[in-house]
Amino acid sequence: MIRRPRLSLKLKIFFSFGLFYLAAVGTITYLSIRSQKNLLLAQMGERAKAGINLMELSVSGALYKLDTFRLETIAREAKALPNVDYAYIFDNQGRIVGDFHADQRELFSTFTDELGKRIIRSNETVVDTQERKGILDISKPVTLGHEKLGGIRLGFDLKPIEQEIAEATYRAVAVASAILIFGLIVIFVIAIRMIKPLERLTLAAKRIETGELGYRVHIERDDEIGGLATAFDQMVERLMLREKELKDSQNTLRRADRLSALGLLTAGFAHEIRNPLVAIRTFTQLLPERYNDAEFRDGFQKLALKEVDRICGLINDLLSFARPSRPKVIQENMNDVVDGIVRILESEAKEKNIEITRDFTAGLPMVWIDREQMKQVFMNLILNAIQAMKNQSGALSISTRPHFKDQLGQAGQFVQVEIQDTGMGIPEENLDHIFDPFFTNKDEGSGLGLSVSHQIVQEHGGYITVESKAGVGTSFFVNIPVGETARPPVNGQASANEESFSHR
Amino acid sequence: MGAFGTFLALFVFVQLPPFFNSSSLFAADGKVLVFGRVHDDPVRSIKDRQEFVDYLAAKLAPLGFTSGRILVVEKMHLLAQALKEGKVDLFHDSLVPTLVLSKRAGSVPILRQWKYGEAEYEGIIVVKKNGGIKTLADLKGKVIAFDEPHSTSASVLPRMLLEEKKLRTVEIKAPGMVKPDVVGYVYGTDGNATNVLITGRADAAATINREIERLKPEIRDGLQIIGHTMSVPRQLMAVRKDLDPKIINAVKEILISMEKDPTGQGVLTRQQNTTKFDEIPPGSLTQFKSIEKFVFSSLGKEVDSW
Repeated sequence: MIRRPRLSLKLKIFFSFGLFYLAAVGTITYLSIRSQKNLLLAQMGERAKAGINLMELSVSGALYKLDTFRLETIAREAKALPNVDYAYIFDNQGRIVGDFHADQRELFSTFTDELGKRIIRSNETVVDTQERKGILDISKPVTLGHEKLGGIRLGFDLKPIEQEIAEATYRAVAVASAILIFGLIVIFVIAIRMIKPLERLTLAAKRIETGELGYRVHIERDDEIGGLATAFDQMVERLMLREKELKDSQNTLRRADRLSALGLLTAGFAHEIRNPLVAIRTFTQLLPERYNDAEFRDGFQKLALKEVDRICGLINDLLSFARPSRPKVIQENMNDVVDGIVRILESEAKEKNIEITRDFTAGLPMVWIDREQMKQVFMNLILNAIQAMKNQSGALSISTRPHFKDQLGQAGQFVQVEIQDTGMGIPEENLDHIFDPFFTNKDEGSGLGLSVSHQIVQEHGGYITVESKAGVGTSFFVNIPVGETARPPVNGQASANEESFSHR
Repeated sequence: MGAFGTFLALFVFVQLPPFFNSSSLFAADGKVLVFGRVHDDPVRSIKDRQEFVDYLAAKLAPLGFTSGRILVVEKMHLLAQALKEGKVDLFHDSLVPTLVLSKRAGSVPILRQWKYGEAEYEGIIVVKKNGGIKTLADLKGKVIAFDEPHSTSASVLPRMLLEEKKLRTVEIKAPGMVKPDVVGYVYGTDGNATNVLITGRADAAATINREIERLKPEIRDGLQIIGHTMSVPRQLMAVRKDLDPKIINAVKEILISMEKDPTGQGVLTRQQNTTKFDEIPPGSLTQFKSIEKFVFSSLGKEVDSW
């Protein structure tokens, strides 16, 4: 039985690829946003550098001359540049000599922040992006010849850049979301397309498990799944051939089993036919002498008719048992089936001084069975019982009853047939082997009877159990399920095989 | 801070020579050769001369010099002060500023500096051909444009020439205010006196041939030279009076041999197209004395403002 998975392969594929895709798109989006952010910051940095370099040209002379009027003007003009938040010009002592504030409030003061102190000492351009403050601080020392005259410090407002970054982020997230949704749909479709053949294979496996060996997957693909499907179909093809061969073998065995049973019946059956024929011969010999004896003639006619009918009945029963027939599973009354086979075997039993008693429960539910196969089961079991008591007179009790437990002790509805003999019993060590093919502890017999019977009952969804006690006797219990759900499959192939076998 | 702050800034900084407020990027150890320059554009002055001063300082390394610096001041008296205080070792300039600084700070011209392949040059006075002025005498009642007041060739020497021709010069503040018996003059800025003439704001201009040659032919052809000044050295190199003679000799030796040094040649060319340095011709001293006399006697207090 195929266990239903908690998470289907389709969803596993979808989630696996989906997560990978999500991670990939997420990473790319993140890197893209970060790259965009870095690019914008770098662009602003470049613009800031260009601006400060340009400013340096005009600052140098004024700073050299310490022309504070000019420096103040330059600082104010710098403040007017796009996005500039502050602008300072400082001398080589770190004193602010150009202040962008209208009231010059910071003139001659020095930078108190750590960055400012570092800037004063630095001989390089310092770019410091303070994202928390939203400021890009850039400073450059101003030199003339070999003299460091001071420097310029500008602060650029990052808000416009942050706005641009935010917009770029929104755009990137929107595009990524669209790509993500589209990609997930594609992955889902791919997952479905990938899994569909597997689902077909699963379905095929289930149908084949139920015996539908003619079912084929027929997946035309050039990939591994196509290969798997082709291999599967080829495997089923071979399985069907093996099944056919197995069925043929089973039929051969069953046929052999029937013929074996027929052979065992031959002596009793011949005796059963000879007695009436002797009576008819005697009457026929006496008929010319007593032709005018009306009473004799009537008696002879009645007796002859009766005996011929009995012989015909026996022959018909025998023929119906021996003749191969098409499997035909229909609703049957188990009591009728068992009674029919008992009738055939009664003479055999009588010859061995065995008394057959019937204890059939009336009103048993109908069962879905192949009458002829089931007759073979009872034939084997009753013959075995007779043979188990062949050297002694005994009692063979055949009873039917309803039964409500399956082989595992679970609740179920069955019709049970018990064949109980008072024979020698089966040794305990043999009990586990009695249903094995060719296992026998008798001088005569093929060893197929119980094996075939067990197989037939299993095919009907039933089971056989046995209870035996050495020196006391043995009871076989044949349990056949009630209801259409337990109906055994009709194997047309087997029917054809058996038919063909019969014509060989 | 406002006006008070600005005033304070002026008070603090203007009194201090900028040189003392700058810090060297070089190590402080060793002697520094300081080159002086009078100009209102320190950036250009320093950029034009730093390589030259570095070359010189490097060559003077055996005498303990480790670097060269340039002090740029806007006024000549500031350079004179620096020379006197020993803060500036040497400088170069045209003849008149050199003579003024010699007089005031005792600096000594040591070499003649050739420029554009010329050892000497002269000032000229040009007018428009169709302006009705044919001679210097025609300048009476007219306006002449000079370059900066201390310009040797385009200001001092032309004025000296006019004086020699008995033409009195008077600075005017507005057009149409020139008396008929004098020559009115206005100052242009560095090298643009000719522009004043061309644009019609003056009737004549004092300049040098080189400036005229730069003009477009159609403009140049419309001008006429009506006077030439005496020929003087193109430029002079001078040292402060108390500079160690060993250093003076070394400087002279280095500068004179620069034209023979491939590296030195390149430095000279990039230093305002200097051709070479050589000794000042002995006969020039008489000439220098006459010019010095004119500067200090005729120009008087005007020189104090240079």
